[in-house]
Amino acid sequence: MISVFVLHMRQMLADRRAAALLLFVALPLAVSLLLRFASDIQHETSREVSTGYLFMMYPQVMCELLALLYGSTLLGAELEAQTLGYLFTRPLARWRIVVAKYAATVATLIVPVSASLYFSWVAIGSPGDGARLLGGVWLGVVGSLVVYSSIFLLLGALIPARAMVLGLIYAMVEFALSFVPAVLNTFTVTYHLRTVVAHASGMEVQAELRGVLSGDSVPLAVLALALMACLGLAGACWTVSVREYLGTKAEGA
Amino acid sequence: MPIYEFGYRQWHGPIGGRLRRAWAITAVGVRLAWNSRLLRRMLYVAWTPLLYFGPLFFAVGSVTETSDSRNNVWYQMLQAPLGPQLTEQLSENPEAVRPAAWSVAFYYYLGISQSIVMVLVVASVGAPLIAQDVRSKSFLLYFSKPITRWDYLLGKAGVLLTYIFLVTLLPALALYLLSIGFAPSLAALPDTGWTVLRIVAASAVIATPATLLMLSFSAVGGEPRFASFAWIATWFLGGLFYAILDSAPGLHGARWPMLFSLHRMTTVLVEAIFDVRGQLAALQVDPVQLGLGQPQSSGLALAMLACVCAICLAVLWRRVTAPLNV
Amino acid sequence: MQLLIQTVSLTKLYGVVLGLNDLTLNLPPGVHGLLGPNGAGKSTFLKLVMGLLKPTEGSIRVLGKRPWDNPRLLRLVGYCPEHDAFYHNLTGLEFVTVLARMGGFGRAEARRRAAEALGRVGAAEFMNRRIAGYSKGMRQRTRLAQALVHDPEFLVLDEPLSGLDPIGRHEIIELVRSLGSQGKSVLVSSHVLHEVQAVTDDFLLIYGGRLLASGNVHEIRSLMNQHPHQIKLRSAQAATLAHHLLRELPVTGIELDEKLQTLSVRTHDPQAFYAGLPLLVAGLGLPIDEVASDDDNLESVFKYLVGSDS
Repeated sequence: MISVFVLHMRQMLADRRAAALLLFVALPLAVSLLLRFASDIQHETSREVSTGYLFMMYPQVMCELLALLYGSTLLGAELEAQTLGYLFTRPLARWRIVVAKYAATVATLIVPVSASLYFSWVAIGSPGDGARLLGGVWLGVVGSLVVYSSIFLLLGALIPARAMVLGLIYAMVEFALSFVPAVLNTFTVTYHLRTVVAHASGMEVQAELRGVLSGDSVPLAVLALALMACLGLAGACWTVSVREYLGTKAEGA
Repeated sequence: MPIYEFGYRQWHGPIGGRLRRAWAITAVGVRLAWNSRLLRRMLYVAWTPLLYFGPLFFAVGSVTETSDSRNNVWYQMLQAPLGPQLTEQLSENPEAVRPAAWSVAFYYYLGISQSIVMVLVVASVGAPLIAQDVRSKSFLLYFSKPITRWDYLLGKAGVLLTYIFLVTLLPALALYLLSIGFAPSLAALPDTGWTVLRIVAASAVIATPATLLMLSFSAVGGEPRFASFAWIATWFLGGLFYAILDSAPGLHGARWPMLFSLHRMTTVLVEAIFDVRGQLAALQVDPVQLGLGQPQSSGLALAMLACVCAICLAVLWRRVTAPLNV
Repeated sequence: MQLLIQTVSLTKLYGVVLGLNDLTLNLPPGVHGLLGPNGAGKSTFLKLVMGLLKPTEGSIRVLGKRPWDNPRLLRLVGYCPEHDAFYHNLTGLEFVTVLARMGGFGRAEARRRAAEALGRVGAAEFMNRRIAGYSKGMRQRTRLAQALVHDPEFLVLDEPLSGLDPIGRHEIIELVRSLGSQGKSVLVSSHVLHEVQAVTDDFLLIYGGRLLASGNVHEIRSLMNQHPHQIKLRSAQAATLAHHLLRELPVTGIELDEKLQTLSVRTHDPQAFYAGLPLLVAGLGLPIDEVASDDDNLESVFKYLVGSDS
């Protein structure tokens, strides 16, 4: 499994892809710098606004987009490149291959995103007492990458050819649903991510926000996120173990 | 006994022009994209906003026809999209206000509703257009025929434009015809005649930068999934950055944040094409009631979009020959 | 003796398209050729053997085990796919090494094995260059090397000679023969008959998704009674020879070309014919300048079988 992990990491960072990834995670940093020099964000912003800004920028959008790109194409890329046959004819159970690639994806993305988050936080004036705000948002980054990667991985395992567009539709629908103050939004990843970030960063949860995040403690939200991640990953492993990928129709783009 | 030769025969008839070659590329691309069930379903869903906007125009027609329409359910329905001021003026002075009401409705339809749908359609259709040719080396097949780079690019652009117009221009024109049908008389035609041209112009403004940008991503990305992702990221990150910058303390109402968002610039231009603010100002209706926010410079938006299009053309021009370079 | 491949009514459907149709087979260990034209079902069969596809109906066992998602079996089997696909940013050595590591070998051992495998297929010279810069033949050798690296008991090679120059083909043919002589089993798929004939005499002939014949080419030929063997003879006394052949030997028909002094003889029992011919000719003192048969080879067998099937 280690060799699959290393190979996948290497492929993610091959040639121009590493530069493209770094450029991508530098975009929110550029916006943060713009905010610092062109606006009054350093002086006039509350902890809640700063948390909200960093949450939207990183766990909500950046991490979800990266998970969409890398998670949904985890198998599809190998299928398109016709290298999946090499992996599936090694003496390695298919589910191990999937888990190793998933772990490599998350591990590779956490580092540059975390670095970008840190510098963005510095750029907007290091708000929050000490690093608690930063730590809270960082937990959201980790949670977002872990959970969304597993969900998009499952999507990619089920429908490799259209995974990215379907993932985009899923992300849009889930985002909209997360604002519905009902039982429905407790099934969304975003709801629990908000809960984790809000509480972990020491933000005071106003009454009007109760519909879009939980007033309960962080462990329940973390448990929900962990459960979603496990379900996504287990579903993907099971799908790969039973589905054919190298027949006439499934193969290729 | 005559001998009939059934071997290869030279063609002595006229050979089609450049447009026909580009058309051949477009026709194949459209047919290939149509094979996708997901795309077909997205196209069906793309027309569903008509289920809202159709009744909206019916409501406009109903309010203009009824003398005391304030208790009318259609009057109530118009409060949300048109705001109370415009709705009241519409019921009091329908002939003068109808063009403004229609402009607002078409602005919402094209500038907001169909723009979002278009993102999904373009991501699905546009990503493999050039990337797949590079990957499968069918570039070599294309350029072994007597076609130029322009023919090739025009043909590929035609594929995207076809599908973008299927979700923007065509349903908007259908909506226009529906709204004429719901109007009290054909007198609505001369009142709103310019609407057709505006619809065409707005569709062109939505389609052109989207087409060139997506083709650039497809040409540069090398793989369809990267092209798709770059497109999706451009839209979503652009929208996010604009929202953040526009709401930042000290930056609200500034001109430049909109330059981050393709969607915002397109919306500003569509708003200008339908002259929404001008018509509302003439009626002394507050645009804030319609959720229009701060006015933005359409000139700046046009200039920026033109730059984006020029850069995309330059990238495409360079990339289309690149795979042939040894 | 454990069978190499055992199938019972193996069928594979792709939607409504039939890939393989009711294939029942007991293949013993050894070197075998899998022959058929494009679209016959060869790749489908190989993918079923490698556990990349699941049967729609029937069953398949490789070395007594079911191949689908079976890591233990894959330790014993090496697969060289037909399509040209690699991780292009890696060198040949890195590519084979990483696949060897997936087989459970440590880093140093995997590297050593990879270098050895690449050497065996004649790729040692360029193994430290990136695959993106390889020619077709180099890539083909690298693909073969990754199939050999974990020293499998059974090799499945899908079109292993495609893209190779004549010297390369010769080297790979010799390699496959040497693997066979070492006791390894090999299944070589191809649509080029003479290439496979150079490697082995045992074949599986597939056409239209069905198994037309399996076994030694001579055995198959001798079983094909509806197609009499054709033997060409050249003699200065062709007419006289023809007369006596018809009378004395099991001959079903003769075509005589007096000008060229050749006879084209058809017989259902070539062994009896070849046994009786020298005695007859010696007894009568008839001169024979040439005896030849284009018939007892794979191409003819294939043509007859395919022709009779369509």
